Amino acid sequence: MDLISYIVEPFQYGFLLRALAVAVITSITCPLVGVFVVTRGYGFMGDAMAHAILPGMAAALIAGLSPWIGMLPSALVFAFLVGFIVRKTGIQADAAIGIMFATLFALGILVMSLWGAQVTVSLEDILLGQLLAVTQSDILVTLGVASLTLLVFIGYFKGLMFVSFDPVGAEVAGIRVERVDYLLLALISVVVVVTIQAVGVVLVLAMLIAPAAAATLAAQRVVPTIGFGILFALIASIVGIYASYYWNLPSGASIAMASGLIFAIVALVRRRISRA
Amino acid sequence: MSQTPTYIHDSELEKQTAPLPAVDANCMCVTYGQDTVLRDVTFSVPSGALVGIVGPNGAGKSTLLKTLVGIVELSSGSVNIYGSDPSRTRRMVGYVPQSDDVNWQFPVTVWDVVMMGRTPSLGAFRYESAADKNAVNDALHRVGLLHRKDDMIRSLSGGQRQRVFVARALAQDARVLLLDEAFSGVDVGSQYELMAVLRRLCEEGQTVLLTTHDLVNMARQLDTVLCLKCHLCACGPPDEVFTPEVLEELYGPHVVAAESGYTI
Repeated sequence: MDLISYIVEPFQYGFLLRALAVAVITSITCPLVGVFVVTRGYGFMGDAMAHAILPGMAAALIAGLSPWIGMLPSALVFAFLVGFIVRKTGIQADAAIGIMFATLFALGILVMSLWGAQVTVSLEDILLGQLLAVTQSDILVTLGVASLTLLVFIGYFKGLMFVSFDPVGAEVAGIRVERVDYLLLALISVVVVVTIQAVGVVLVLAMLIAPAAAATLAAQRVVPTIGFGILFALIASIVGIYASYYWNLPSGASIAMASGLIFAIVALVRRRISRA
Repeated sequence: MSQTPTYIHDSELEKQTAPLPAVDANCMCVTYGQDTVLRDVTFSVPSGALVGIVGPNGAGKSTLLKTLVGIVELSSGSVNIYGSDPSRTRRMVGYVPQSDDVNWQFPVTVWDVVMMGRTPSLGAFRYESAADKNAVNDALHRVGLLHRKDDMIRSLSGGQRQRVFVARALAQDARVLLLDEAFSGVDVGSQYELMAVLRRLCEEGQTVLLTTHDLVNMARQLDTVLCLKCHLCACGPPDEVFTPEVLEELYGPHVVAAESGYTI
């Protein structure tokens, strides 16, 4: 088999083309917010949010609805509850995130085990994603949500940047810091929900954090960092999909592995460069 | 997302500035819930002065600076910047935050930081004009850091970082500069360098208010020192205000013994 047909062969199948489309879209949206997640230390928040959507997702599936309908409200409820706990009890944010992470994830598992028997989607599918089972309408929803995210992101970019770098200075400059922070949380929620479709609950961080973290090692300014993040995420997605096709591996796990390897390579290259 | 403060037009400003003090505080009080943070603080800072605010932790130093930029409201009294309420003079007041409040890991260059002074908020789809770029160039030149414009902010020393933030204030056309904990995390050599930059800016017509804990080296180079402990204990040239009585009121009796060699 020559190289061209090796490359082209997988995509004679519609399901792989659809998988590729969703993977490409998430590869663009994830590093966009991922760079802010990484540089502001929101990694745990992103992970927790991905897990905390389980009850909403399970409820929607059991009710016979699209999982999208349950996921986004769950993510927003999670973000709201974390803020509420911090304000009312004064405990540290990461502890509040931990509490809501565990509680909501557990609730999701309980819902699935009590009423999930008739649902065709297994818990494993939810946790590891079902990229190869993506439908046409999934692509449209992903594309719509991603475009909206991109527009909001571009519109508020300077404010997001100022607030993330220097919140006090931003407040002095007349920016409503709290509002921008909530906007960032909402963007993270949306992106997490969209990404779950591709790589599942457990592996969201593979797309959200690893490419963006590798990019912060490769570039010095925000926009190039986002650019490198998108490049790394795209490579991880494509390599992951090929590996999944030719070696018959789970797609979400393949993408996550590729993403982790890219981070390792970038970190090693950078070490060599900074030593030289 | 961004508020739209009403700015004073330049021509209007010009008419107002000549006779007016840069900062004029009158019986200023600030309370947070039950706590009184500032009580009956009255002082006036002439245009072009280099003024320090000293006092123990929790004395209200940062709060005082924040009233001048209009993000902390007074519970009574008044404060004016060149005769106008701080909510109307946002653009005229530049603020250099405490080093601890800044996320140094964020990937921005010196140039990016100073540009924030020109295009602070989103300005959705608005791009930097030639005027913005000139202002950033000029501001970096004035603090002597133009050659570092492409470096990442986190690769700079503490003193250089402070000067970058001063440049940001200049780029925003601020006429009053506020520096919170101006010399914290800045090594001694760079402290003098920063002070020299501030002094030069004052000679060019800027007014500088800074908070500091360094009574020995830095506070003594200032024109005026406000000694703050919720209320104003003393106000005047450093040689006159750092008396044993004032130091004891501010910091307790131990400091007076340690400091007496310098004060008396």
